[in-house]
Amino acid sequence: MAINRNALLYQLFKLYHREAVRFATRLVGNRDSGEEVVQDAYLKLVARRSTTPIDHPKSYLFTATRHAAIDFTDRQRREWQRRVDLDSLDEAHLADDGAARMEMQRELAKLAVYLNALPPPCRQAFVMNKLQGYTHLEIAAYLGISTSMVEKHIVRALLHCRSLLLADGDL
Amino acid sequence: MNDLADTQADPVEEALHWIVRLNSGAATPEDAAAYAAWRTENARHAEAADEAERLWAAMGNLHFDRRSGRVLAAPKQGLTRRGALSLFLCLGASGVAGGALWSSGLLDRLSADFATDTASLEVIDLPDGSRVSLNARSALDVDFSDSIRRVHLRAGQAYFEVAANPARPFEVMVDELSFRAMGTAFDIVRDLPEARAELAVTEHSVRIRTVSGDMLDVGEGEVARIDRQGRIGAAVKTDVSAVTGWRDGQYVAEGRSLEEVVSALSAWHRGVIVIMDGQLKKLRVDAVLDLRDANGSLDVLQGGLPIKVRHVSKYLTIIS
Repeated sequence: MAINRNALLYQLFKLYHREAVRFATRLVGNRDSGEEVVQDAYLKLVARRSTTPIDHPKSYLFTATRHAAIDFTDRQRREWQRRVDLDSLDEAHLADDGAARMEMQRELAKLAVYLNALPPPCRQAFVMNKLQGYTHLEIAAYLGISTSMVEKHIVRALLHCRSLLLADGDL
Repeated sequence: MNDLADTQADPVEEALHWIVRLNSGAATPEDAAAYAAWRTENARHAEAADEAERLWAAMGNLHFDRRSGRVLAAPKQGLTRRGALSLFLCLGASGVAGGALWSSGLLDRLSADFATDTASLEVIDLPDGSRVSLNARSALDVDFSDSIRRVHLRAGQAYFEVAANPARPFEVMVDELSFRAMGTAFDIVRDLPEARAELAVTEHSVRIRTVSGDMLDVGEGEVARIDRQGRIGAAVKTDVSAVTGWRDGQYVAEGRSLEEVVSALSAWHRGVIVIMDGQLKKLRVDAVLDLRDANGSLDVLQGGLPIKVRHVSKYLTIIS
């Protein structure tokens, strides 16, 4: 059984490798990291030794890739945190207070990955508004769309993140 | 109103719609009041609003990496001084090429050589040895030539410490307004509620020049404003160190309007602050405030002004 499963996983990753790497690259920002993420996803699935049959192989693979991207992003974040705590009081000052930071540490990695999975105009509308402080009117002019479309994009980004947070549970 | 019917099933979705609208830049005080009322209608709404606001707030801690166009959970290395310099070298030409685009006035922080987001501050070392501190939500383009060191303040506020070089003057542009210095230190903030720009000189002097040919030399320890019509006001002696307090996370208001104070706090705050009454915007404020704690700062103001500050939630504050 386990051998069959591993053979299947191997075929699956071979078949969709390029697509998975492209997806992972989108989630974490560069190609090298994308390769690493897909490799992590594969190793983790192999190590799981589960006996549950894989119903939808492709979406199974992509979900595993997304989860590996979250782990990867969270690792990056923790490395950054360590560096900040060590050598820059200033940066730590700018970040939220310790308790609030602890509470959503891992959630932050999830949110980053979910947002990167969005189609570019949707992600961009959200980033411009939430992270860069632009008004809907400014974003509409920049993207050449209506303000109601901007609003729809941002709401969609939020709903997308929320439903994936619920789906991934305490991943 | 199709989407309203859809959202009624899920109050969290409805709350998210509210939050997005309140953060659109076009929300009215009535919108804020309506949300506050919706929130308190019943326990389900309150709970949903808490959840939606928590999600919205959590997302404020994400970072955007301009180079890869990706959202990150941690800032990329942080812009070290060396990093900033190499970024400058990469983008050196874009300041000139981007010139025409700026007239639209909308691209400001997006394509600038240097830009800061909400609640972030950056120190940039320019190749000539001058140093620029960039306040939150600000943007700067660098456009140096052999004869002149010109920079454009595209948005927000910056403090300039200029390396002396009489042969190559240093000039800051705020659109068509020019601020020229030889070797000095000064602060410029643009687009205040009641002025086009404000200059505060901490060392030597700076010459303001408008397109219509008006000119004013502003000396050490003086502040001058250019009003919305482009007229230069008188240079006034002030405590200029108060003007540059933002570099240490402090906002020193000396006779500033409440509207101006709230706009300064907003660049450092990941929530919405609404002033309900137009008259209140004109109130004069004297206070030292913590930019990193907008809500706390507003509470301080409440102690000394005829205003009521209501924190509907951590991310919505109503001043009435």
